[in-house]
Amino acid sequence: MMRLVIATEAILFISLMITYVYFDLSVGFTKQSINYLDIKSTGIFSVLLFSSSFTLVQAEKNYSEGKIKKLKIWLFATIVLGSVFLFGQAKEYFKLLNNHFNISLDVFSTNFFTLTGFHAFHVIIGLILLIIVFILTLAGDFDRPNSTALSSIGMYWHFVDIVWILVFTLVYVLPYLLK
Amino acid sequence: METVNVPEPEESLPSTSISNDQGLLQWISTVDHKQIGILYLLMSVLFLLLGGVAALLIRVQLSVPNNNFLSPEMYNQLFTMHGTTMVFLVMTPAILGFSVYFVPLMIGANDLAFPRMNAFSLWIGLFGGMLLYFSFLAGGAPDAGWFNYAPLNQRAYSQSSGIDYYCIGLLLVGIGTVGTSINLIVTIIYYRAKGMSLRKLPVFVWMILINSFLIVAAFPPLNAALSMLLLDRQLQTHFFNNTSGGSPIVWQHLFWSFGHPEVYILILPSFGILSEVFQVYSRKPIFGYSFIVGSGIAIALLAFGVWVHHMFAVGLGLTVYSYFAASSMLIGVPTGVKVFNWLGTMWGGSLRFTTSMLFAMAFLVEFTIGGLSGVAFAIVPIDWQLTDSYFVVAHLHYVFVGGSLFGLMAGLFYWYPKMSGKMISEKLGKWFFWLFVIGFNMTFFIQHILGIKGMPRRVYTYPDLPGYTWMNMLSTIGGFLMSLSFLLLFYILHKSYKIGKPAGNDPWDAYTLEWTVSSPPKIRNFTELPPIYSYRAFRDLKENAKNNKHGK
Amino acid sequence: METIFSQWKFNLGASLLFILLITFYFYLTKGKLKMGAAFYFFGCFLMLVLSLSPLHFIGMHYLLSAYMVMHILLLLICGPFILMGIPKETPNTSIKKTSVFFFNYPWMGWLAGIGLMWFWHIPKIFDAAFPKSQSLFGFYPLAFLHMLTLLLAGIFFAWPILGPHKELRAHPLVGLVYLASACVGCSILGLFLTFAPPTLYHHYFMADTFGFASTIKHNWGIDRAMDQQMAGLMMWVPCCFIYLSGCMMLFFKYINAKEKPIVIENNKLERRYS
Repeated sequence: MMRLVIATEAILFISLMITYVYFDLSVGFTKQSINYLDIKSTGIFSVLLFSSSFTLVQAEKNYSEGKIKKLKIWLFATIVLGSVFLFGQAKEYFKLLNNHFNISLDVFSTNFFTLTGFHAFHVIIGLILLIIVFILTLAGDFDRPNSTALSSIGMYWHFVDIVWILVFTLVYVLPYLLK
Repeated sequence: METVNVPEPEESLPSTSISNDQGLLQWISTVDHKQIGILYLLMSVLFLLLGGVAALLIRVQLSVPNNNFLSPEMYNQLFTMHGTTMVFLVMTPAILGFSVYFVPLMIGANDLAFPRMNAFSLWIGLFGGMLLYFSFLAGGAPDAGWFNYAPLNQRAYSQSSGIDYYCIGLLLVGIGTVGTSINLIVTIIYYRAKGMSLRKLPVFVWMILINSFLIVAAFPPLNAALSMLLLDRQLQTHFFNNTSGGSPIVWQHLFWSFGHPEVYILILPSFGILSEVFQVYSRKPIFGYSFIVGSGIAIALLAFGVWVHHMFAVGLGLTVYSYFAASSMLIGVPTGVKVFNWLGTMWGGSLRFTTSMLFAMAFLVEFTIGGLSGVAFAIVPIDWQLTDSYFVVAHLHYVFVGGSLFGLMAGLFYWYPKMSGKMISEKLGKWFFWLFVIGFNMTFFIQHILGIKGMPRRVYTYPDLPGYTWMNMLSTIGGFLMSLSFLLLFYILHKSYKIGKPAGNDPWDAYTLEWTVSSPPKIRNFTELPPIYSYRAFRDLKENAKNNKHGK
Repeated sequence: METIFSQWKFNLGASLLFILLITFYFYLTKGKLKMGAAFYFFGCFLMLVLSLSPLHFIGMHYLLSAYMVMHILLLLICGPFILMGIPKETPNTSIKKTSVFFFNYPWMGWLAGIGLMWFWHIPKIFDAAFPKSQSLFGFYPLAFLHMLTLLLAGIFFAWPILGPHKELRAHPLVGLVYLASACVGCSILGLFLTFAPPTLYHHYFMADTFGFASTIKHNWGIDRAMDQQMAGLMMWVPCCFIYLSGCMMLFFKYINAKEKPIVIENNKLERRYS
């Protein structure tokens, strides 16, 4: 089921990214992207998000081996990393908004906020799911490795990460490389 | 009897313990797939009434030239709501209703894979529909047509909040539809009876499987487009606003890359229903099982490669058009294959002309007319001449009504005894059939000619040009005949439920597993299942029993 | 008079590749011809002919759409043909190992095919992949790499579907999803090319060295915008048609196959692709 959910979400993001590229090709975003966006700080936060995928893999591994204590630690680490990424996003948004770069400024800002906003929204959903699982783990509901909840959420979390790889490449890295 | 154990969901299902006598509360809280299926059908009926009233008002307005019965603003709202309602809130729930009711029964499962999600999908869909209609109270319904082209959908051109309700309502309906589809896919893949490999899946279930994949793939572009539109309207973004760098064509691409598959989403389940109906009433297994399923897959795959043919009048360039004209004509091939499959099924069978079969046979005629006018549109110059005229209106009604709805009607008359436990009145059913077919053709066939003569669609009135008046009048009379026939249908359904003869398990001598259980089925569908040797498991069982008798 | 269709040009890179492939075959089989060798050699030969032909010439110098036809043929015709000719049993186990690899990770084949196709269409990389001078016997590493990777991508992409070991191919229904999603991947690229501004690739705006530009523009009626649209559509519509034909073949192979008598095992198999 989770695979189907991911498939349908993936097509949603593909639609959004196609729109982004379409406007990029017709209007040209490179200049604005370099002017407004801070590739370095977002890059660091992105690395944190990517590493949260690895911590979650560790969590899943320990869960399947029945090491519940380690599971809790790795889960917590994943949640922290995800939250830090969100914090980074929020920081960037605030900075942009303070520079009067808001969603209704022009076509670039429209596309930028929509695409990254949709992604951030999915990160939030992933975090909520992870926090629920974490609380349930603390409550002892995950003491035996027979639930597929964690691996389903894992799949979702990795998907969100992969989407960010694509979005980050598209919005930040490519304009930087091709300027 | 050799039996196979029924795969049972491992955890107990919530609320199956509530007994049947708790009335309304039980219907609201139910997670049983049969009750949810019926609720879906009732939802479809509710919106059919609303959408039907809108259609009648439109027809009244158009019955005479220079009419002032409706204001132009009201007219815009009505045709928008009529289209949106019929596509998203009538056809789709009807299809989902039949799917969630019969898919588990046909594959020998006791419920869908996620019963609670099933209920959630239903209610969120209904909520979305309500929200859409709430717009009438909130200052005005959406008024930019059901495909809601930019820039008409922008705030500058549509100032009431109708289109915002359109976005939110359809997003919710979309969530419900996708949820149910995912549910159906998982059910079909994991909960089939032992021995029922995909090669032995009944055709209806195959079509629903394909259809569900189609829904999962087609709705996201719509959701993306709706979100962007909502942002455009609420936060003044620039996606579709051509005065500030946005592009209205992006809306068209996104909408039609959903919208064209949607057409197939509405027709594939009907294909599935017809394949069951033709077999049973011809007393002959379907002709060319693998071809009928294969062509279904081909249609689904091609569906995503042809949407540009809705945009022939945009000006994308002749090269683009020639490719898409070709690919659009290509999609006629698998559809043609299916028609020949059904004809082959009837050929040499001993036909029983029940109401359901009549609808199925009428489908072949009406859908072929719709298909032919569709192929005509694939030819770019014809499209340029006829687009946005009443020819389009006629074409799409022949496909949606003559295709999808006729299939659904065949399904309704075929499955009514199973769902209600009572036989449906065949005599009145045939009255309904003829009234409906005559009304339908009277309303829409004439619109082909009106379109060729140049009457534009979506204009609230017309001048008294030669021929326009009597043709529109005829169309309006047909429209009233159709609505009369629907009233008759509701009467038939009600009366048959009250005083119909008990149906018994298998009134039609049918082929698939849903007819092995009682009518209506108990809360727990199956306790035992016959062994499954083919896609017509029940028929195999009956044939075997007959042979054994003769052998002894 | 020289017409554009008589532009058969020697191509060092392609010839080298041809020789390499033939050598590789005999290296695999220790000098023997095995079943299906004809497929292999046909694939190689088609590759060679294509890259010496006027089609290649036009693609190199004038028309993106001709270049695209080359691509599609290399990726979807030559690659699979070569693959079908790769012998099943070889003295060393590299082929078997590859089959096992793609059996376990079919998506790697997908990524190879679609990923490379996307990679070579990034404008800067696309422009860089063309030879910089017109000398007949020059060797251009990047152009050679381009051709080699495309051919390899074609082979790897088809491996889970047409690989030499029948028992190590993907389940037909997995194959169906594999091909259908590949179709989506290449549709999106085609879509971009079709609707992108015609200044996307700079290569085709260079000086008209051979003097055919006006023939193409006036006699054939193809200008830059139309050329790029045709190229995009080539990738979008006919290319997908190949994938979809593959899908239909896989489906009919599946549905008409004899059912295995053991039910339990069957169920297990089906669980895998869900």
